[in-house]
Amino acid sequence: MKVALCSLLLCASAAFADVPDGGSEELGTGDLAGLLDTPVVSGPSRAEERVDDSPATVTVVTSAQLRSLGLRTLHEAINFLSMGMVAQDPLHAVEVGARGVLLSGDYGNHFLVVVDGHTLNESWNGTAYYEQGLAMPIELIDHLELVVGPGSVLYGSSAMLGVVNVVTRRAAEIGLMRVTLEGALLPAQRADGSLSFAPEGFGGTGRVSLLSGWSTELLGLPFEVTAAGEYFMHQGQTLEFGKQTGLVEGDGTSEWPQRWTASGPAGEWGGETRRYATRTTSLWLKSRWGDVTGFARAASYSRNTPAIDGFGVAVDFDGRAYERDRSFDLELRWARVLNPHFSMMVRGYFDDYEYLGAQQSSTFLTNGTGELPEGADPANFSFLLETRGRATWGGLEAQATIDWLGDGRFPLMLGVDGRARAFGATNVDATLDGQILAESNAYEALEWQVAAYAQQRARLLPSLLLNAGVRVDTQSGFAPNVAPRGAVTWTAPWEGRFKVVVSSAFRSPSGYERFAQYEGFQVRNPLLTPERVLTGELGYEQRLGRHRFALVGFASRFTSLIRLEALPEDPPLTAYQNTGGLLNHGVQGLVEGTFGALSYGATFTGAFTTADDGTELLASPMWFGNARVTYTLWDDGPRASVLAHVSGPRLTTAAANQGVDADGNVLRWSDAARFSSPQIELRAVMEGKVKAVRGLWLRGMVGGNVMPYSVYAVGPLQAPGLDFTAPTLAPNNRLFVMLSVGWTLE
Amino acid sequence: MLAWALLLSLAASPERDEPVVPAELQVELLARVLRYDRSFAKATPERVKVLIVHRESAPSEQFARQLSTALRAAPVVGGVPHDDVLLRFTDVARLLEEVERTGARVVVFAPGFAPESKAIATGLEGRQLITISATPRGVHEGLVLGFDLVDGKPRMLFNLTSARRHQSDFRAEVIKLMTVVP
Repeated sequence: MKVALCSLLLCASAAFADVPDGGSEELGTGDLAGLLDTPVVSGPSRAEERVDDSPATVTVVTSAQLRSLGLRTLHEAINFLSMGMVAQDPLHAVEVGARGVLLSGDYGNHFLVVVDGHTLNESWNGTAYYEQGLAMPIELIDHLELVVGPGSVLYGSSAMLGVVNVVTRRAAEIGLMRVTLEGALLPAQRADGSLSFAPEGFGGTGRVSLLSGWSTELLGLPFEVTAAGEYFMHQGQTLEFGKQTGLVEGDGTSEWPQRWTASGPAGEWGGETRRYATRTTSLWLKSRWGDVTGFARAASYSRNTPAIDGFGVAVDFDGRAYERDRSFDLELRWARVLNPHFSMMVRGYFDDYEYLGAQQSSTFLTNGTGELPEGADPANFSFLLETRGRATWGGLEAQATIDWLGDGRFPLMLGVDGRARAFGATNVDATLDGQILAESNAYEALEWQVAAYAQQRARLLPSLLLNAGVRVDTQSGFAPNVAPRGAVTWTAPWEGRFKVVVSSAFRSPSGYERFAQYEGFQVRNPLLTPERVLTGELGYEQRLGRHRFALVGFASRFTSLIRLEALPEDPPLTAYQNTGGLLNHGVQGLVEGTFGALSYGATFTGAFTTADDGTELLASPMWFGNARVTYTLWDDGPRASVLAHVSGPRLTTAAANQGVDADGNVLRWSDAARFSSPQIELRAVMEGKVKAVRGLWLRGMVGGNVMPYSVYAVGPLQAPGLDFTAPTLAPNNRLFVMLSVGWTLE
Repeated sequence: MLAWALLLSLAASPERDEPVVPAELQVELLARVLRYDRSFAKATPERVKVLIVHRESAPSEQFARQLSTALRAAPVVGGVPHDDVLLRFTDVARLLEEVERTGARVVVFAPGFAPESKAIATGLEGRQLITISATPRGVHEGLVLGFDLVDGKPRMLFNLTSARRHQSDFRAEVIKLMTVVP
């Protein structure tokens, strides 16, 4: 076996390491170029280290890749480049999963999104956005570290499936000014998935970003400041949803057609809509003066979704279903090496977040009070059901690193992080012109949290690296959470690296999950306990000149997962509950490299996931992968790229629902109706500099989903019926054509 | 006034240039890239002397120790076994004496030499050795080779003018992998 492995490696070395790469007959430069392709990451250990030394599986996405491959959001970077992560778009907040576990409806709160060490997940529901809702100019990003696997050991709650660590550019790299303009066209889509190129059906996106970096000396100390702003808008193309008809409601004694639009016919849902729209505005400011760094961000993200989940209430089709997030983040940090054995970091942070979700309903029985306002016409009345959430949090973190020998081989990191957070929400029923009809289910809470963590790294031998850490989080209302992690990396004589990682994470129940309540549908559950996960992984990675491949096997145990489920004692009512757990295991692999002017990459992840109670994970793909090829036409010339993302069939979000016929018999979907088709996303990009104008670059791009429908069931009919044999699925964005132009003034 | 003084004292970094590539990776790159310097290969005896110079400041000394440890773990530099000497910098004259005395062919500067880099480069001019800066800024100030981090990946900076002054003769295909500083 050993001989076979060595033979295989030798053959592979011969095949790849000495390929012509510009090297001479004396000595190829492939190994040096390969080393220069080795990223340095700071996310997994909160300290700079080679990616292959880090105690996790990490995909690094560079700003050059973001530009040349036309990646505009985290969502796209995850799908087209990451190993082990997957994202999918319900025409709403993009959902992200990893290694066969995607928890639909979690608003991204099983990943932690960190920008320059500052967590962006808000403190009410733990929400993080991966589409334009991240509200960050993509040009501000130096590189992304997509860390797969539990990461609570240094980051605390929410790092269940992984951490997305965003590292921004330094002022000097941005230049005096950097402007980007971008526009895209999207044709209309019919209910059967076909495209319509009629001019009136087109939608579009537009984006403008402006960045400026400036560095100098102030009072003898280096000073730099970066300012960035971005505005993004998407005014949707016409989308047609398949109609659901014969919809009725009743009060127990009689039935009547249920109204799903303010002005359309009663008893019917679906048709054409142009209400798919997004607006994002963000402002960033970061500065550094000597050992002090500062960071501030203000962002607004609003969107209209054509067929939003109604949280069990009757939400109009094509109605005013919109959401808006506003956030403000501030951080001040001081870091210094005090002596060769000891360095310190202290940071203070403050964040504020506000959420407004409004859904239009024309069905008066779903009004929170169940009563019409005085004088309202029950046959022609619409109102808005709003959820208004808010969170404010702030804290102080102190971190010390003790380098026992003063040479970087045995650094011990110790830290303590204390924070206070206030959050709350109210449900409001209002008329379309803003008159408040009722306020209900308000809650406010003030909580504290203190965490202490330690991480010892040890280079026991030049080829053997150990990383062991633990974090203890105490939070008002919960028992302490302990999240350990251990990792060993061994570099074999042939420069292959073996890595063993055992890591754990937790996610505290969010304020929303504990306290949100909707009359007649959802009740509070303040007794929720944290979710937990324990993961083991074994990986092997080999570099052969400018080529690299990796293979990782993993197994995870999730417990106490929080889901919205019916109350056994009162089935119409639901509550977030600690349900059973999940067991999943699988493999992921990567191959990437460069042959002269051609670079390539591909990843694959396959997983088996089973729930303790035999239920199936909805909307979560069990296998997925991506592939890309880029060809540089000539030295420093334009680059042409083709990208693909594929994910396997999976259960739709309505797959577990059952109906009942008139005789009380249970109706189930057919197997074909329970599963979505595979999802295939393709993209072709051409990007390059315009030589005639210094600093100018252009990019053209065409792409879209091959499959017409996603995995998300929409509309009021979510269960099988005699005449309803397959759920109505939300459309995918099938085609876009985009042109970008950027200019940098050094 | 008190707040201003406090802020100033907090901000007052002992170093104006910082390493952005970990020491181990710098050493690994250094050990490999020197194989492509023809003059290094020709003029180097069976063992090469590597001088690691640091200032009397905590960040500088810490990084120098990390470089020294990483060098000890590397069996060869530029294909040649090596002996390493850690030197605390006092002034340029003393540095030149030490270079002369040890016969160093590789002089690695830990962070903190931005202000003196020009004087050092001038002082060492004409000697057949290669100067390495742990920070990007040192290369702009006249040291031959240095390390930067761009897009999360290491990048070698190369000062062509300084290289000529030290008779370094890197092969063209390797220079293509570097960012050349005029």
